[in-house]
Amino acid sequence: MKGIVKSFPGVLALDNVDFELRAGEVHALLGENGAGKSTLIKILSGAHPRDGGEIFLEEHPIEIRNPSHANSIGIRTIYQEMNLVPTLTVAENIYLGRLPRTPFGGIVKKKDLIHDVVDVLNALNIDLNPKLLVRDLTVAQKQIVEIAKALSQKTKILIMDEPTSTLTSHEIENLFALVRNLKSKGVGIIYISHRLEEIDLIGDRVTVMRDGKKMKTLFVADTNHDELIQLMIGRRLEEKYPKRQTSLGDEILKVEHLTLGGAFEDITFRLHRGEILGVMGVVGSGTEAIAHSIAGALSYDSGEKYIAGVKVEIHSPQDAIQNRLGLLPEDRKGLGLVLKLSVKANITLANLDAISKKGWLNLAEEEALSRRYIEKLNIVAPSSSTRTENLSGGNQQKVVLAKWLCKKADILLCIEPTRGVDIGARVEIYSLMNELAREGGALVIFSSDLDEVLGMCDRIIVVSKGRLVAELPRNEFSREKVISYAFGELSHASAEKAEGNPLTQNRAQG
Amino acid sequence: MKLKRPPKSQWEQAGIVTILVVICVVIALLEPRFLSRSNLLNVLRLSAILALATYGQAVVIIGGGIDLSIGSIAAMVSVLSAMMTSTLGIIPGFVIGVLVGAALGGINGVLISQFRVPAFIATFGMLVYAEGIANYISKGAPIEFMPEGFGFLGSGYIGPIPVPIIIAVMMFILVHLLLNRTKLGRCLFAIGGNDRATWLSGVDVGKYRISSYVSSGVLTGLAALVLTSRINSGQANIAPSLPFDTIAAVAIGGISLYGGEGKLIQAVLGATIISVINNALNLINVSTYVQMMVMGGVILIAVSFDNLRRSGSKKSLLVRAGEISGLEPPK
Repeated sequence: MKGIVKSFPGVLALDNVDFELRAGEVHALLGENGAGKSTLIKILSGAHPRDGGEIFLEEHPIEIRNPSHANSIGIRTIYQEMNLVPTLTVAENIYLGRLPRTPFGGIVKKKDLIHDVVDVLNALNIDLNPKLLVRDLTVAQKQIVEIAKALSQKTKILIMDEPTSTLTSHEIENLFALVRNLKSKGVGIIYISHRLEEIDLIGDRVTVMRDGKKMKTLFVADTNHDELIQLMIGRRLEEKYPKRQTSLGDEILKVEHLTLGGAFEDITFRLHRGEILGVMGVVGSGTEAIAHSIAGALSYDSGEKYIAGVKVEIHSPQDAIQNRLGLLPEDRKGLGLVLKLSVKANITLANLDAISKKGWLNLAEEEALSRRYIEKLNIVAPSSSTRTENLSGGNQQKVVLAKWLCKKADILLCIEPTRGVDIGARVEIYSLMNELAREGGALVIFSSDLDEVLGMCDRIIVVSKGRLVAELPRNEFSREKVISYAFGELSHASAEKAEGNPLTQNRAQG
Repeated sequence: MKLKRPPKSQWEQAGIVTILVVICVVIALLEPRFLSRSNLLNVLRLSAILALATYGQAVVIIGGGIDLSIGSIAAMVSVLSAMMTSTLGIIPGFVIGVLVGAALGGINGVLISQFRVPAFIATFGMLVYAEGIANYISKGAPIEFMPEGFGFLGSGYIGPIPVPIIIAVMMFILVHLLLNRTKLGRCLFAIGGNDRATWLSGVDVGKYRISSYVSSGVLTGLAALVLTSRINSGQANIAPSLPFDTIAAVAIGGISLYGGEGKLIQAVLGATIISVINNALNLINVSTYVQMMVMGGVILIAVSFDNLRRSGSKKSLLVRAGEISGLEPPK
């Protein structure tokens, strides 16, 4: 791709960008949200027309007309937002649009379909029942289906947009094995990720973008994280996980024997003012359900909750909010925000009483109140009336956080608080969390991002298969320990095995 | 990278006004009687009545629902207010009419928010049910011989201005304030935009959802009263096409049928366009069947364009469809 230019009303999204991908290489694309990575990818995959520049495929100039045309010439994309039909089976989704059919009547040959799909899955070393409905899969499994779908067809260029953001480290290893396999077959892979560690592991070259411009293309072997981060955000990042002084106050939340059949069992823990507690578990271990249950968004079978030592009944988000407990959900677009509403309306949504009298809104007060949080959280938006759907992921997440700060929540349950958030905004979000803890609040971070939990928390609880399996104070933190507990491998031998694992090893060094 | 959108709604509104003007010019050229003072007043009066009911539909649709029952709510209000007027007098009759509208809307709301019946089914059921009652109590015949003064709401004037227009303007201001300046309105936009996120923010989604259907019932009740007063008799088949006319008005005006966005002025413009087309078809004297064909076509085109225009909104529906398992749906 040469000299690619793309502008949207008010923004020059891509400014004369060159990009080159060789057969059989993994070329990582790095940049903060809004740097233009997605736009570049969308142009290559035919989702957006370009305003200038040329694209060459195997040295021939080509016009990519639309996504299906891109598909037909072997350019496949796996997007973050999944394009699966929830009510169809895994097999049907993988072969959607080209299901094997009888010559007359076009009836789908189910046996052939399952047979073909089993072949595809085996070739990729994926263990998944093709007859399951996609609706019933975990997020990670859906992602795998998405990948299988892309790879079940002839592929020259594979574009992966943050493929690992929802995967566990075990699943990531599988994915990487798959990527290496494809590489050896001569497929060129464009790999977008925020995780520098992954780029070390899998990337051959890396191109860094910032503000719609290409900063530099480097060989992964010749560079280091500091250089990449500096290129990406234009300054050195002093501290990825800002330090803070912890001073524990009184107990603010106690959960006892919380149980929901089929999801989690006998969850008991305490949380103190000033504390940041990490709840770590692999995808599917039940951590999200635990958070939702505590916050009243999901019912539970038995158990008790105490706030500041007093037993409370929290059976709805309203109850939770009355107890000054807020939930930062895992899916900010689907659960955290009303995308069609403005930034200020989202910030004040949980706290409408503060800006209304007898049911009438005071719009001036709303503007003033939300303005305070927009400034405090450094939310980048053209105005407080901008629709939240037009904000970048990091700023959207800050809006969700602002909603709870505006409501003056004391206890914040954060599920995957920085998923899909770029590094700059991530550090800002961490600082805000620290500030809330310093001011006497308390946070629980439910995350599958081990670095985040290790970097941010005072204490970690490890959940495996819906049960609490370990509790580690800060001085006992170790990557290997947490991983082995999380995978339910408690023996010493398996902890050693985890140490020998290339992924975890590399991360430990990074 | 998210793209910034131009302020679309403004030129969309200008576009709708242009369409309205073009339609009027074409009709005036085809049929000069269209521009006569009495006809124009008539069109405005009909627009006002349709607009009243469309406000209600708009409130419900912005809140992420739909109200198919308003034709039957109008029937019930018409029949009951006429009967009550004969026995209790005009003002009690009207008050009861509005209360009946509110009550039926409330039942819709409770069915949808507490019993989790999809809005489409609940209000469709109410459509059939209330039409049944209205016909039963009126024995299928119009209720006539109304007392002196009953016609004021529909046919009276205050100064040179017909009363229905005054009512429509007053209600416009009220509903506009309700949508944009009250907690109820704000919560309806939020619920229509993303009911789960709104519920997780501690908003009593059920309460506001019920309120939206009660509002729709009240506004439909008002529209029915004006219409009943205008024809000076209570009838069960007073406005059988009202649900579709109002949905079409909402769609033509450019309010998203997916909910969560829209302006009341769009409902007014949509209702006016529909009334003008209806009036024109009457003037040029085409058969009822042709009228049905034209109106049906207009509605289908408007709704199709609504979907095209908002291809972006489909994404949010997909996001909603991809909800995590185990999370309770909002009440």
